[in-house]
Amino acid sequence: MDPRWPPRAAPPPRRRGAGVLGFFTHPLVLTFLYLLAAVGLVAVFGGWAPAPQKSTIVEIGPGQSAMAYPFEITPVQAVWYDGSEERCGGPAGCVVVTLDVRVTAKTSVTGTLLTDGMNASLADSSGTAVVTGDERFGQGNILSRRAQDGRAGSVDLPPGLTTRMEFIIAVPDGAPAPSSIRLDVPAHTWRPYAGLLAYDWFDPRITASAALPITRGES
Amino acid sequence: MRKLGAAVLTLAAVAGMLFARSWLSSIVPPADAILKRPFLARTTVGKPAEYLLGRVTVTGFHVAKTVIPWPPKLRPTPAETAGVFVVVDYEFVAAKPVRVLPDWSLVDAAENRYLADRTVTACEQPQPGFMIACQAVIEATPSALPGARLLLPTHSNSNLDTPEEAVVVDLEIDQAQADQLVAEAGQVQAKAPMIKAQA
Amino acid sequence: MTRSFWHGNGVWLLVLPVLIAACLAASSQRMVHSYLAHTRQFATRAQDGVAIFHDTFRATTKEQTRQTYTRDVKVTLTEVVPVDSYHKSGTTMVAAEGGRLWRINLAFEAAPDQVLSVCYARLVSDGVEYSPGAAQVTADGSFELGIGSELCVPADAPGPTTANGKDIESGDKERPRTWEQVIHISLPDGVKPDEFVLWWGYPNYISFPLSIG
Repeated sequence: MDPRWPPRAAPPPRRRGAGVLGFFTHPLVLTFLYLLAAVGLVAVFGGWAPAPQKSTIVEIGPGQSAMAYPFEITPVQAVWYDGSEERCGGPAGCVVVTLDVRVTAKTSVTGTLLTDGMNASLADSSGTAVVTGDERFGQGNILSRRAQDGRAGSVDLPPGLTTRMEFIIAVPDGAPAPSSIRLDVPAHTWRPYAGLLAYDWFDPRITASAALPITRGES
Repeated sequence: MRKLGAAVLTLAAVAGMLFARSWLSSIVPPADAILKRPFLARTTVGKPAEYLLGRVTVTGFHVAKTVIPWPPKLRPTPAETAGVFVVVDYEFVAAKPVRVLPDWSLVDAAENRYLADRTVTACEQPQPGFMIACQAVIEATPSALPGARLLLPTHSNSNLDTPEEAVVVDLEIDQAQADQLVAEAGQVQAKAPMIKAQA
Repeated sequence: MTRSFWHGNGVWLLVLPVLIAACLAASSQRMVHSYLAHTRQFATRAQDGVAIFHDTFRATTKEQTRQTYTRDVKVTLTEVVPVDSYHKSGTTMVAAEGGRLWRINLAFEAAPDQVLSVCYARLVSDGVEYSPGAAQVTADGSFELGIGSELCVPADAPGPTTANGKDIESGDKERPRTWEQVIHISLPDGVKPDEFVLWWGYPNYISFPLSIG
């Protein structure tokens, strides 16, 4: 038999000069690029993008309760005092809003969380805004304290316990008499921050909004 | 025929190994459960417990409705609560320099965690070789008392984190005792800390 | 066989230690940034009680610009002796029951622009560290909170300070080039210190070995 039988197949011609384009047309590289594109499309248009959240603002009046996690708040009353009232803390008058606050989380929560993101607007009898107290950017003027013993509002609130809190909003001299107040308490969430630490964020789209008539207080 | 036998044997071996694996994973706890398991030194009132920061003994506790703060300059007026104050007497011997002792907390049977109020009491800075006797005041609901235990972590970074290492002191309160403690809760004067060298 | 093994793998075996070192360096982020940066690591050992210390740190000025600051200071430990009491803003302070006060006398020499406020000091005995401001009571036995104060700079002219712990502010009054400070640390009775350490920011610190008979 012919020792050259069966004849050997000729070696495939060496691919030359394919260059950069050749690399990207290799089936393996192409598969990878297609996968990457698919993942990118899903990330941008698919379920990975955060779904837009609906606003949930629960409006409540005296004695009604609403949740603004981790607090359940029940408005009690709003009283306008002149500057002689000690709680106003200065020569100008103030409105003292009383809320019953219950922490629904499993741990004590610092009371600063209550005022963090809080927004108060006072209106006169015609509905015109008189004063606003806005803590949303950390530069507000709402002071808080425990109604029972005057402990600072920043002191931790225990879970499950209903604590009566006072929120003090200064009313400058000469301002029209306020007759109603709207106090917005936003819900809080904890998100990872700087990799490991849970950090508190308030979400004004989920808010317990308390509307109260203001009565004139005797100091 | 031999090929078929080998295939059956391979399949049986693979199935056997899968069974063994799922059986093993059902008896061996997952890695996460072991890695995140906290180091807890468990004890009861009056018995010392050693942990990373030093030796801790809860010598006693009171339940109060009102606490007169110490030092008075911290708060001039008494602290009152709609719930109860658990006033904890404890002794601490530092094993290394500790600038500030972490905050005590109380954990109830339903795993709710109540943090100590630093505006009512203050404690001395610990020093190795010295024993400090201090108080912690924890505001809680009356329903937290049955089955409650005290927790002293190694640092009080966040009340949201479960501590990695802590002393856990079981207060051994049952429902009847809790009812009695709440009924008898009155006013407590917070004590000044005491420090002396450890013999 | 042997020849072909070395021919094929020799270069990689030589490169292997370099690769391992590169892997360690690449995974050292926690070691360098979370551990070493927050512990005392590099000691300047005092010779005959004198330490020439150099340290640099980055901080923000009052105008919110980042800047590198230096701490060039000569510290001399003149004396470490047990004492019965000392006076602190009109109050006589003593060691807590069963303790002993130790007085540490220090002499400093530094340019007025060096940031030397807020320092930390420890007496060390057999690896156990004791801090100032702890285990000290007033002579009548009661104790005051907030004993700690400036340890390393004159109270009336501290020089540049970090008022909020972050931004550097230059002081109103210029600090002298040389000054002395006294630090009191309470140790349990019978415990003798064998080292005194002083630092401002991690990881550099000054170590004074002590030989107390």
